[in-house]
Amino acid sequence: MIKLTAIEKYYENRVIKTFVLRNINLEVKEGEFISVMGPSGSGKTTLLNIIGMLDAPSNGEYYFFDEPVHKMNEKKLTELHKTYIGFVFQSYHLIDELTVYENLETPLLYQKVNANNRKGRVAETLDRFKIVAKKDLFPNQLSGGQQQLVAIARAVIAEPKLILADEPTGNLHSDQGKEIMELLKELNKQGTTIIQVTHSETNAAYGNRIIRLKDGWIEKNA
Amino acid sequence: MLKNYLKIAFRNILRFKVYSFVSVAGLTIGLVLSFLILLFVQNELSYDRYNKNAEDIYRLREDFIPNGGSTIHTALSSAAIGPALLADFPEVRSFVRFFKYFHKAVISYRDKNFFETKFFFADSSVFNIFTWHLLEGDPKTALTEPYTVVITKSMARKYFGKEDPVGKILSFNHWKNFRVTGIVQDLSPDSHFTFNFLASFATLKSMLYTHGELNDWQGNLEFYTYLMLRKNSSPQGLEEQIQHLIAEHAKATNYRLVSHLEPLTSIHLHSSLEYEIAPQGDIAYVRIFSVVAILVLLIACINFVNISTARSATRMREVGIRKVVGAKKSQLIGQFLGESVLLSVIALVFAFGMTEVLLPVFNFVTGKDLALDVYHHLSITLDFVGVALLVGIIAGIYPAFVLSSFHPAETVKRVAGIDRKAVFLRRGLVAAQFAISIALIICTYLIFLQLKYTEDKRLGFNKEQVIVLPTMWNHNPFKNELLKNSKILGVAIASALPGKGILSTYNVSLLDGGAGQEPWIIKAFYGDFDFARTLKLDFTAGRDFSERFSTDSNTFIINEAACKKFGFNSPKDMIGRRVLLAGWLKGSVIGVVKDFNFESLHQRVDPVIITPVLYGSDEYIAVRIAPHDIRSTLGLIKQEWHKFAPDTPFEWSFLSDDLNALYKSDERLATIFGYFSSSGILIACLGLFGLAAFSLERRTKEIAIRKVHGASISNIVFLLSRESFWLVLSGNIVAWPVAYFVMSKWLETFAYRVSISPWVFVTSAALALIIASLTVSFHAIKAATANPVESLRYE
Repeated sequence: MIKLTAIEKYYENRVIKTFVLRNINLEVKEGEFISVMGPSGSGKTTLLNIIGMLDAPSNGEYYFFDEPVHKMNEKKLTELHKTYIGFVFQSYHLIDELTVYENLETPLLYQKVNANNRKGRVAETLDRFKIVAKKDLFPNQLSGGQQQLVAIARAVIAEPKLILADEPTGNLHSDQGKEIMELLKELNKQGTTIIQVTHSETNAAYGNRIIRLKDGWIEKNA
Repeated sequence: MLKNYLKIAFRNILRFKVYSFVSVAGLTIGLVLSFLILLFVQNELSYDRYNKNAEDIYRLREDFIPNGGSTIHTALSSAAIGPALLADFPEVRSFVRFFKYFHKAVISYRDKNFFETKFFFADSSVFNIFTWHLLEGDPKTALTEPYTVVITKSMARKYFGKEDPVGKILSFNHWKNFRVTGIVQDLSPDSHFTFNFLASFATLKSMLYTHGELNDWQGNLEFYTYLMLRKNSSPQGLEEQIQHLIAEHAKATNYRLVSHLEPLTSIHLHSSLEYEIAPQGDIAYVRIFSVVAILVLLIACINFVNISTARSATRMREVGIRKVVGAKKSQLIGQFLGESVLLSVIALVFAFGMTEVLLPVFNFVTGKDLALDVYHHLSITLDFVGVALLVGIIAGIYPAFVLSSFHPAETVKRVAGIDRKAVFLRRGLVAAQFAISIALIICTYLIFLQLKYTEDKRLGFNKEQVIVLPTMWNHNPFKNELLKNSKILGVAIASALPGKGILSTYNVSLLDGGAGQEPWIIKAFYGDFDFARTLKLDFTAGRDFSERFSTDSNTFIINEAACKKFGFNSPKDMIGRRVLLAGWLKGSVIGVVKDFNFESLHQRVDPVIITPVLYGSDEYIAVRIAPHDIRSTLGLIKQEWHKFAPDTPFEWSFLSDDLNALYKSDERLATIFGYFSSSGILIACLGLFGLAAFSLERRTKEIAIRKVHGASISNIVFLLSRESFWLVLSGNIVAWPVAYFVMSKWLETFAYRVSISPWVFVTSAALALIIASLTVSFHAIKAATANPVESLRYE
């Protein structure tokens, strides 16, 4: 599904190059649940952003379903990422001005799903995540866990093949965190590939492979 | 999708009430002002275009060039040219001459007597050339016979009420009788002149021009000649041929004429001539107003852009999320443009409403009768909509493109990052707003100073407590009766008064001046023996006219300018010199008076000669009254008036008011500038208010930390106000030279003007600074007095 070869990412100013990622080689198969770990500043989020096509690598090759991502223009990238990839962030990133219902609807709008179909899918998702009662509330009326639940619902509503989660439980207390992890595991069982960034060994254990980053290098790939 | 955008847009508008209000209010004010000006400009440009033949009608006018004198650009021509052109030139399809009865005429029907000013004479071809609609009468024959007159519908109502006017007789000055042969629809106010009475040109030969003046090719420049040319004929070629034709017939040797053809449609705005048929507009004012309107609209747009860019920073996160969930760049651009267009459309709706409300005020200021009627002004309405949409798009385009081009990873991270380029741009724009506002304030200030100056300047005579009346048939008994009263300090009869009437031009020469004395052109008017003392002219040499000298009816009084023109630097040397005026009037100069401003201060004082003899040209009665109890004195004058002229209405004015009327267009300029500059500064302050609110919101934490570490309230206020202080100050750097340049140009149109004092600039700058500081300090004080713990708790 994903193949990274010799990926590098650096920031350049007049004097020095600051490397964030160095010589990353990584292959991810469909159906995997991968946890990326490492200390702060080791490049975890950058790696996730590159995989999610939100950021471009400085060097190296990136194949997504054998298609060369590093050669694509922005239009193609947007197309690819909106059809295949869903995102979950540590700070949820819901749109404050929209209700839960409308937040869920947004990705479908951008995919030009027609109104009836949209209604059906939002209703189904609300139901599946047991948040029907909250559909008319705004994000600031929800607890953190509930917001993350909505964020995950939004990530999966477009039925992506890949979910990228950047410390999805980082802002939650442990009970809520556990719930979210169970949910991700369930999604993985149903066939969605998941890559998560996490600091917690417990959460990492939900996955079936751990990649450890240090100073931009892959330290361990097991 | 659209619904989603609209929803977000509306929620944002409601959530950020201050910003929305500032953007919409600023834009509304800007739009209202530019709408009003657009209506005004469109109206000014549309003059005479309702005429179906407008494109083919030209006015033939002459420049009058005296030997050795400066050219007088007149709107007039001689009477003989029109008929000759029709006979000789195939490209001339038709011509019409107008003669304007320059004096007030008393028109009567039975017991109704009114003074009328718009009494014209015209050739019978007039309705063939000008497509004025006759409600009654035959346009072809209505004005063929002598002593026939066509009147407007409102005059018909005024004199005849419900009677049918056609065939009825109107008396002119209780002297001649005219038969009404037609009724014409009242002329559109969008005409370069309007009449109430149009008598037949054929009348003139037996009424006013009995000595063959109508056959004059070169003299008697008293007519307005309009030609209707065939399609596609060249007016330039014709102009030259007319020039040759007049040269062939020319007899006079001490001046020459240069003919011009001016298109009908350009008379109103482009022809600023002497002896114009009616007061005209000025393209300069149309341009000035347009520029000022565009500037104010620009201030409003800057506001709009500033607020939306400032706000966009807080929306970076939303953009990031939308990108992450799959929004295309074009979709985001669409969303931001849509929001800003929505705001501008809201402003547009308000602006339409406010324009409607403010139109009466604007009409009062401009002396127009404009209306905002969507059906009749479809093109203007569409222009307005276009302007609003354009503003919306311009304002939305910067945030739309900047925000949508960020990398999503960046935007999500930089939750409320500072875009340095945007901040710089915003500061520049605020400084620009203040530059424009300050320039407008300086201009307004100087215009007011100049107007004040024209009011206060010593004019060379005393304009206070002088009442002006039209003359009557037998004015001497009336005058003598008035003078019996102690409250009447003086009564003078004159053919013209400052601000009233016309100075005729005549040849003048020194009789005993030697061979070198060429005749030259002087402005002359009739003034009786009491003229100089009634108006309180200052004599620098010689004496006033006096009843004690039987020979004084053959004498002249001149002003200093005339004295210099005669070649005498010392007025004393002029006394006793014999002068020949108009070729037949001989007499000696007995007095020289200081130059007095007969015309507006726009004009330099020309050489003037006063004669007590030019008979038949008496036109006004000036009455100097005691300064107290004016009301009862007026009552007394009225009583006497009705005794001596029972058939003539009593109409009076103060000389000082007549003088002020000369500055009407300047006053209009001042008023409009006043409105514009105050609106400009208001919008700019609204913008500053919004931006201050915005920047404080982001500096809440900084302020709290500073306070925790001991900053006083005044420290904080100073810190927060410092930026706007510099912005306003740098606005001055741009505003000063621009305002200086523009205002020196304007002041050049006055022969007598105030000097531009640096204080005007300093005061305007100070005013802008004070207003701006007050605006910002509202927020600054609020932020500075807030409890720091409250703000820090958020983090």
